[in-house]
Amino acid sequence: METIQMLKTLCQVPGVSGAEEQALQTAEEICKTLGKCSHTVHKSLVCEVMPAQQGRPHLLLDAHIDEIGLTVTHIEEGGFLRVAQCGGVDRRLVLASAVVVHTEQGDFPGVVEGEPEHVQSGEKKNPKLDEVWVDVGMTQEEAKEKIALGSKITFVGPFTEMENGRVSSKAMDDRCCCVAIIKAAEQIKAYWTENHLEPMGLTVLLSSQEETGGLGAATAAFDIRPTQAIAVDVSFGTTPEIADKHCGDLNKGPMIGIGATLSRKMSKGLIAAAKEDNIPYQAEVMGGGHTGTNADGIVTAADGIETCCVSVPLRYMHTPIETISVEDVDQTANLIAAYAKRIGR
Amino acid sequence: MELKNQLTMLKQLCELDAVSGCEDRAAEWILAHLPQDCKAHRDVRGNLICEKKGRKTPKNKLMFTAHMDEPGFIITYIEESGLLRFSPMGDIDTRMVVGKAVRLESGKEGVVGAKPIHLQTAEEREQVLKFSNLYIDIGASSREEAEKFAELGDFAVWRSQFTEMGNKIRAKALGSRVGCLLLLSMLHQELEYDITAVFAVQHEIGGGAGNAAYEVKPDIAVSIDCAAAGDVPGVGAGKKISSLGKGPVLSFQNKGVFTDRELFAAAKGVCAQQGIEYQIKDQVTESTDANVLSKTAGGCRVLPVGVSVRYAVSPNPVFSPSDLEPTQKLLAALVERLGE
Repeated sequence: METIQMLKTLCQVPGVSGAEEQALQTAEEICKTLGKCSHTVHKSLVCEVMPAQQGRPHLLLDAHIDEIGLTVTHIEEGGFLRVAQCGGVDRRLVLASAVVVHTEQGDFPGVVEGEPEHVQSGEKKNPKLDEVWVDVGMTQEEAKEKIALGSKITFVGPFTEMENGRVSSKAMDDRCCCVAIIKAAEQIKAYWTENHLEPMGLTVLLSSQEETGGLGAATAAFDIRPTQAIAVDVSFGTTPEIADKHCGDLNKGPMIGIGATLSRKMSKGLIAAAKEDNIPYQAEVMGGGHTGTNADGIVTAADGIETCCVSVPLRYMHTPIETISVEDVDQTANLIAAYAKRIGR
Repeated sequence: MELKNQLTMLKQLCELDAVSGCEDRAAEWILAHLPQDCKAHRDVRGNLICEKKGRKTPKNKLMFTAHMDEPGFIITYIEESGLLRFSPMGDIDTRMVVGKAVRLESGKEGVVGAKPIHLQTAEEREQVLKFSNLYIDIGASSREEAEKFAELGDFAVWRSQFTEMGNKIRAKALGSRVGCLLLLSMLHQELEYDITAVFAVQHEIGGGAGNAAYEVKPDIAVSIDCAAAGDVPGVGAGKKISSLGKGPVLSFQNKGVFTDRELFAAAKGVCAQQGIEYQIKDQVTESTDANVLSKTAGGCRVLPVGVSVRYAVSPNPVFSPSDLEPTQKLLAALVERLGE
């Protein structure tokens, strides 16, 4: 499947943290041609692309499948849904957002609303999440009948093709990286097959619950026990208001993480692979003791796993209009494949 | 017209991009959908003025108006980086703009981004953004590239889909186009008296309907528009303005204009007589085109008729299709009653 097609397919399917089933099902359809698929206790998808071999490298590629969203906590008089966040929802942009409520009885569209303008007094504020509600156009009775408490809500963010091969959608964080690692695995597997190379292990992990703490990847890594892992997630893409934060630029290639808990050897190996294969890259120094990605949970799994981060630069993180460059996704796949060849040849 | 056909029409109307000052797309569509017996022209300001013959000539010249323009944005500057700066056209709350998908006049699609939550300080999380903080991203990486899709002064709109939601509808531009639908469907009926229908421009920035009234010189002007709905959590009795699904909204006074007392009484009388469920605004708020109509030239008597809409000035206004029929009944009956 073309990268852009896979992005569209994976981004538009729902999969809020803790309820990733639909997204996983779609992903599994794509992954099953790559290798044997299975599910972990916490519903992460594990695809065994090349089985692990004793004494040989076993590379784990991780990207999280879950997206931020909301959970239904209460149904008000008038049929309005009260909600709580699932992951870091930006309160500044929730008002008037189109959403979809996912239930066992089907999907129901809605709109996030807050205090109407005519009853607001004083300065405008960004509402707290317990001050907004979702209007689903139903009476309380209908809503109670159709929508179970705990149902998850996704934001509507249309898939938009933009200039310079950039695309925007909800859930680009982290579905674009799911695409990158699937594409990387395809390349690696094909290369190993064509060249009859000595077998090495390669596992793709599409992990659950990253946005709510990283449980999915940490527990899956314990089960998989790779010799090395690359956590692939999105990182901040430069825009005017964060120009001073040393972020990555869109269309300039994947960002290679360097940080205290990450493997220096892997960071250097990734940089060397990029240079050797003429793959554009950007170095991303991840300050402090953690990366804010699944790498944090994988590094400390079992007796410790050598791990590095590779990131796709993304603009407007945690909004329904997250924007990336398709070319960066392809180059991320190329970089990971180049690295795998270096360690496995 | 059957409800299903009306909703199909409403969908098409809402999908037209027409911001204040750039109403051509809406006007052309409406012009193409007028009944054959309607004589129509656009005036200098762009108002679409339609003469509809009834069975009789009314004693009072009757004018019915609805505005075509929707709230939107105007491109004010193109950054060297290719990002587009913009101003609002209409009284738009920035909180409805951040993180939303938009479409430019050229059809090019873009987004209004924001600083990621992860990098916001505690103070920034509380700050409501200003328009000067916002920009439209179309993926362009230079001014030159952006200029292929946007010129200064081009408009932009929210691009939310027309969606059925429970027994309600959400769609961009609903606040104005529901009025256009009601006025258009009046023209498709046989009416008792002649009327002049005006699909007006520039309501969101003050109102172009006044110039049409100068030309038409009505005795009575009925302005059809949305009425804010406060039938939501936390809003007490007496503060709701109006509620969805409770029929047409009448008002004794809007911000800036009194409803003619006789017309107000006549409208209530018509509803009582015909068994039309209606509601009276419980707040003096909102200005409709009735304001400018009342004071054009020597003035005319005005009667605002509203349709209850939640969140009218937002990418996703919500209304109840069940309000269409009673409002249509009221409008047709008003022609009969006010023409006498």
